[in-house]
Amino acid sequence: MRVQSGARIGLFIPTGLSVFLPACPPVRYNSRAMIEMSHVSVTYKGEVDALCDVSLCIPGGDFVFLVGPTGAGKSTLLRLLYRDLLPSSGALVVAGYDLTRLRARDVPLLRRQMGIVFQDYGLLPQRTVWENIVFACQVLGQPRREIRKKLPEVLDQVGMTHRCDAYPGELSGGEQQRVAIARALVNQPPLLIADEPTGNLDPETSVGIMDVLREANRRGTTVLVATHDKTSVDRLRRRVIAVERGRIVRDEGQAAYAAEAIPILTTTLPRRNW
Amino acid sequence: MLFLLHEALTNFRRHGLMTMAAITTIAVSLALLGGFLLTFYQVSNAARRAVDAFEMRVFCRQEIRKEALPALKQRITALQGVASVRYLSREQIWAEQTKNYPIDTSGIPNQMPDTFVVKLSDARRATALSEEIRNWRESVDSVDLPESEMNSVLRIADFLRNVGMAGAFVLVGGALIVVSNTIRISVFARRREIKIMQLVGATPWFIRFPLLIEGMLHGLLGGALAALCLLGAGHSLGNLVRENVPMLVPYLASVDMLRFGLALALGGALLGAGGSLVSIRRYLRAL
Ligand SMILES: Nc1ncnc2c1ncn2[C@@H]1O[C@H](COP(=O)(O)OP(=O)(O)O)[C@@H](O)[C@H]1O
Ligand SMILES: [Mg+2]
Repeated sequence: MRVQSGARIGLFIPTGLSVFLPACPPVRYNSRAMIEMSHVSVTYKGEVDALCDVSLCIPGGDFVFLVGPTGAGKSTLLRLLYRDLLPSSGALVVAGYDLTRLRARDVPLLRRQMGIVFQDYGLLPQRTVWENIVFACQVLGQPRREIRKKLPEVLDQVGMTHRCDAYPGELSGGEQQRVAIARALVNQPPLLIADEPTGNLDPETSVGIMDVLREANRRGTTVLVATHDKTSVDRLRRRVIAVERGRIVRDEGQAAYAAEAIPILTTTLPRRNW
Repeated sequence: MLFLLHEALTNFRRHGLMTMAAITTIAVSLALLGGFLLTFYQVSNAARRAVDAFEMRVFCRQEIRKEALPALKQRITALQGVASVRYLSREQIWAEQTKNYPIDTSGIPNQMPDTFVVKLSDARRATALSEEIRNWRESVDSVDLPESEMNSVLRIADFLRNVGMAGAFVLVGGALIVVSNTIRISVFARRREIKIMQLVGATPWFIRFPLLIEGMLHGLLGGALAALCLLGAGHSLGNLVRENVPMLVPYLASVDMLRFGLALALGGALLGAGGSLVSIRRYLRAL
């Protein structure tokens, strides 16, 4: 399950310090890590290098923004996590599952450890809000009574109780995304992955969505959000991982969307041998 | 479990138009196949009856003693490829002849031989059999066999069998392609559902089951529809033949349409299940 000792590499983040980190700093293996990537590369069809030697470690309970320009490799990184994609090389452990060794038939087990939210909501148009969320429980074979019990709570959490009989077509984009988040959270996964959840939404609506994600994080879910939403990132001041051309170029805690360069500090910081 | 069945059934309702299209497509291709099989069955049955109608006549020597006849009959019956042997005594034949041609036969002594009418179970052995019996010189005078007619009928039957086989092959292949394609379309229409099921961690079995049931129902209903059409068509065609070409009637085989319809519907269900399994597998792998 775990990465072998010799290859144990993660990322140790000195909180409070603004530093440019080397591409792959070897650090102590963190057993409480929700996500652990080391030297992961992804090459599409043998030509496009979408990710290149990426290493990172996200401990359980973290709230992390993944930022970067379009085509930087954010979606690719997220797809790796829910095993929509296998790395061309490198090691990858998510929620205790070693994805490089996970058998295809065990993929559902991994997916039950996470909720996934997309830019385009992905709701089923012929089902009501309630039915859409129920669907995510039923396909896991959960008993009806149990589902009925936990649904109101999650609907309340995303603030959609009043629209639970509406069809997705009757909802605004922000409301649809709330429903999608409710569906992702209904089975109380330890990890929530969101790929540009506010990409189609106006700034005010985005604030609401980000608050829902923050609330989920406050309840203990590890949240990883890929986003372009500068305002939200700056407002929340959480850990920010910046990706450019398939590489991590910045990884800092309580950060803003753009790098707040403190040239003196970064340049005078002694190069440590990790 | 209940959810799965419910899913399969509500999918029917949700995708009403497409369901109709799938069922009718399957029905049409199965009706074609079934119609061909029925027609072919009738034609080849008629050909077999035509072949069966041929008889071989064994004429005994004039001097044969009556006591020897049962043994001879036994001997012919024992031959391979002989279905039945009927004995006609020379007196019987003569009586028949004098009755039918009173003028030609008057004042002539009975020159008719004792005769065995042999029905064959295997028309292909007819020539060999006649050769063999001809060799029993001590009791047999000659053997009469409508050889050339028989051979041409046999050739026609062979031809029909080959055409039938090729046709059935092509039509079964066509039905398979049509059904699996139809189901692939309906699987494609479910791609959102399938994607979501996969993302929330549903097991492959859970994803497949409703689609499997759906494909099976499509096939079953399509097959039943095809059977109904063929039943109707066969009935009116039968009536037409009886009224207009009654000479064909003895060559018609009666088909147990209930069983045929059942087989068609079940075949449709099987085809639907198989088609959906194949297309689901291919589709899921492509995701
Ligand atoms: N399925 C794919 N096949 C080939 N190249 C791809 C595929 N998906 C993404 N890419 C390429 O990989 C790079 C990273 O893409 P992506 O991860 O989607 O970026 P982002 O989500 O940050 O916008 C881009 O250059 C993109 O063109
Ligand atoms: Mg993207």
